[in-house]
Amino acid sequence: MATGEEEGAAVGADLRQGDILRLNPIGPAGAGVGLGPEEVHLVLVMSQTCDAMQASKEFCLVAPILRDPSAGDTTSALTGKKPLLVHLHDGSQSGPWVADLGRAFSLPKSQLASASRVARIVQFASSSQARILGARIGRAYSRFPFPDEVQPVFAGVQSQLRGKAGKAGNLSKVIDLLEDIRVSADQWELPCRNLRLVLIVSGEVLIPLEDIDPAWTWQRICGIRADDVPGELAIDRVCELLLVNLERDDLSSVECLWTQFGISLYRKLIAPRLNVEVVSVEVEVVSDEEFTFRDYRESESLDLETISDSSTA
Amino acid sequence: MLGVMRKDTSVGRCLIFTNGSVLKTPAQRPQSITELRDLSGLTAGQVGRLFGVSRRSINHWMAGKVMSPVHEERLSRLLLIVRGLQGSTPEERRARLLDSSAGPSLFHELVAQVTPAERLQVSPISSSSRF
Repeated sequence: MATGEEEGAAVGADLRQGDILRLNPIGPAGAGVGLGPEEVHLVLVMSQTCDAMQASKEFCLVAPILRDPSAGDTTSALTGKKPLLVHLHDGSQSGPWVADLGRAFSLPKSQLASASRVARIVQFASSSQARILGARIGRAYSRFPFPDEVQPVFAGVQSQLRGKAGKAGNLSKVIDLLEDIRVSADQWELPCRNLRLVLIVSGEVLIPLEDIDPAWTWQRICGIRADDVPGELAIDRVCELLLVNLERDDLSSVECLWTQFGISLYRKLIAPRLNVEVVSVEVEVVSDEEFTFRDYRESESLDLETISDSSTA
Repeated sequence: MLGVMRKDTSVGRCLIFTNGSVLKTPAQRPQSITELRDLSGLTAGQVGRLFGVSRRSINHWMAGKVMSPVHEERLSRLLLIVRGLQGSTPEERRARLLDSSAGPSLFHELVAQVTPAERLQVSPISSSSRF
């Protein structure tokens, strides 16, 4: 693994996306992004590895590493709350680092050849590390601009998650089980939108209806009480039951509870916030085996950071 | 190894070796996959999940499309399991396969054996961080 041990050796042409380089003073090249001409700077290589390595590509895109990131910036970078800040860690003691993509700039590769590598975040170009880093960089520039008017509809879910019990609560744990949250609409530009909110779960934890045990009944749900009525459960109660039954691997009960989760999420947190901008939301929980390529083309991954103020990132 | 090709109308064409072992030829496969489906009472979609393929693939296999050796091996193992299930009708065997009264059903244990392809699409942030 590349660590601080490699410091001092010039990188030459061996550049890879995710490399953190110590640049020699770059003169006026960094003036536009606030890098002093006479200082040594750390930068992240943002260019794709194939472009960074190809001799025919003259320039390489880099982003400054924050010198002393605040705890807030580090956390925001880690969770993705500020899309332009990317958290980087190579597993060694040297990191972590926070790259500021908002100040990305290009440098001639000749200027990078004499830089020394501080860390290599991506060990193999086709590894999952490479894909995660690529996705984080891509997210900063390719998020769908959900109209601001759509945000109030999700404010209930947001406040529940960000509230006192939200972060460690059952809802947060269940939301983190989702593979993706995707939204589609009949149209995005005018009021009276009809949305479809699709919560995608792994097929391992959401079985198709035809796979349900024919002998299954509502009473088989572990932890169920006499006053737990289908369609009437509080959101936290559904989440609690879901987590318990997932633990027991009772996939028939879990299937039913995912349906109840969709119903409760809609009834308790979304329906009360419908307005003239968004007149309806259909909430559906589906497995990754059921979500089709057509569904994918017509929808966008919900990322409310695109709506909320991310100007500080 | 010496072998002779024989036409057997009950099992399709087989290469029968001198030691008595039988190499199944593609002509036998549609019958085997159909037998698996008929015996188990499962839908084509459910049979597909036992192999990690689509319902369309199952229909193609039933129509005689070539199956990879790894799927042929899987088919043989699944047939053995289904033939050994208690029950005299497909409905009874299906109920046995899906019975989850004492933990995960046999069907889901079999589905869990399928190795998924390496995941290429990753999410840049966790789901709860999106709100």
